[in-house]
Amino acid sequence: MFGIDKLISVKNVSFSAYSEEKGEKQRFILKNINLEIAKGEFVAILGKNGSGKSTLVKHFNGILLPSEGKVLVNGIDTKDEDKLCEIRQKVGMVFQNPDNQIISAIVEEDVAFGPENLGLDREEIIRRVESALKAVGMYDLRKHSTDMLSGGQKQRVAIAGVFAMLPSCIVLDEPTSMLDPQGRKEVINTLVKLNKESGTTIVLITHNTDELVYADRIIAMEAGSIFKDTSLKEIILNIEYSKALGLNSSQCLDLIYKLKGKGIDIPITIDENECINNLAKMIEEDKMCR
Amino acid sequence: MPVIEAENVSYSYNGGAGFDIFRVKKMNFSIEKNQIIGVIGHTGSGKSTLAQLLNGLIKPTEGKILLNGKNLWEDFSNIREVHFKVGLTFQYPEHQLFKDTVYDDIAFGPINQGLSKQEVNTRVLNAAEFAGISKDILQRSPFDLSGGEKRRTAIAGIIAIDPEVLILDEPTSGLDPIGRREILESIYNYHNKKKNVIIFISHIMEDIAEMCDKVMVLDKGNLEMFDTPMKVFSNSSILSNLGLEVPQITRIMKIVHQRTHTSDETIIKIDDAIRNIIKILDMKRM
Repeated sequence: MFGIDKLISVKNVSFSAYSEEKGEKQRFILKNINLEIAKGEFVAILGKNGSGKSTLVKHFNGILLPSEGKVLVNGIDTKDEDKLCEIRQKVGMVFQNPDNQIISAIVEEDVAFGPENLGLDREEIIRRVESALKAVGMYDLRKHSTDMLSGGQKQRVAIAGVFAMLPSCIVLDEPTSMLDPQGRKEVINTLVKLNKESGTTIVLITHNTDELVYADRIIAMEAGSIFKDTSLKEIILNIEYSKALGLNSSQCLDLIYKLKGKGIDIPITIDENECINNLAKMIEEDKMCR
Repeated sequence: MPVIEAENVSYSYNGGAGFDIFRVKKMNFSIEKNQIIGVIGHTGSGKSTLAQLLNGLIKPTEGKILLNGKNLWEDFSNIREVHFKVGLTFQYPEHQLFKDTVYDDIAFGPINQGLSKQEVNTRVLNAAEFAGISKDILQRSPFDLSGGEKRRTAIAGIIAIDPEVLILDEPTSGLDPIGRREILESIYNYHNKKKNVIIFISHIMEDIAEMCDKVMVLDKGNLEMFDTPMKVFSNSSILSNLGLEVPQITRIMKIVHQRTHTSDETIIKIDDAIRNIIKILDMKRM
């Protein structure tokens, strides 16, 4: 039988899109991807625009179907149309734009939309909406109008809407890229909490280096293939990888590389506090040598 | 003479029950030529409303906006001209791409300005070059492009109308770090060549610090600060009260300086941080 801890299993998946009418040549957006995601993991996917990140995650719940190979969710093939509802309930998605994902005028009604469509009892729906809103820290605003919320709050409502379906996994495609710094923090803290406290698997596409710190595992994509599947530490310790992938958006890392370029040796890190400690230590030691 | 001035500008709409909801409240400022102005503020602080006011898309409910000393709304029939003089790209401008080819999409603005075919062609090619679009994609469909290329196409469409003031509403959101840097570099080069006013709205404080001559800080429709990035980012406590933050490098250097008692300078750019650190190390060796 299929291993219980493998939640999503991607086997030899390729995906191509082209129009034969226009006489276009077949172009592969994904090329022979193999990947397994276990229950409870916090996975970050990064890579340049156009590297296939969004296309890949859309395979995780059957929004897209592979041109070649197959994707299994809890052992169910995403090509099995009869099981599509089950798959989408297991793997929920949150997208970039907070405004496109809210459909109801009241916060709790919006969160109830998913459970209602599962045909659950009234009591069960109320229970799930309540616990989902508490999990994302929006319970106090449950009676509020959705259009009065900030971007970060809207994204948290969208996450609650998915969470109320009791998914095993939530996939988020750049959920913070339209948010201000405070909204970004709200969303990321919510994800870390759901992952730690409820054991929900998180798959997060992001360009933001600060957000990678929370991931157990980083999948780096380039031109439709998986380029690296490893820990954050290994990726940032290797200057070429991070430069090549356009991961280097943190000023902390930029500062360290540029100091190294000037012959000042300082350990590589993207942790702000570690960087501060290292710099302070270096200056203090320099004082002693004097 | 300032290029754009706001005199007591407010924008409000009726929130029902006789209450007016203000998006922009009694703003006063003037922007001199050849400057990049950053605009920062929490979501809902009025940044996008301000952008639309400056471009004449919405009319102030009070006060007036002057472009080269002339009130935008003095002659209502002239407002179309204003859209050409003050170019505005919305957030996610690629959502507004609609033509069959990249070329046609960029050409849409100049054609509507009534330019000759030859002039349109020159404008399109120049705009494409400024925006970093390679010639070989001009005949492709804009919908086949990557996110960064689509964004550049949309920005080129506004550059092509040759505006005196270019307003960019979060031009880099959703782009990868390389795409982001490329767009910022294109904007910077364009500015250096054209010497026009650029108003740059962003949530990324690091980019604001690197790019801008002056920064507007907005909160709940009020203009809280309008000063150099150095002055603005020296006020980290005010910024954090407004839900904003200083660039990472400013935070790092501030704590390092405090701990080592070496300097009380505010650092807002990476290169300044490097110079500062080298100075501290050398100074001590002497």
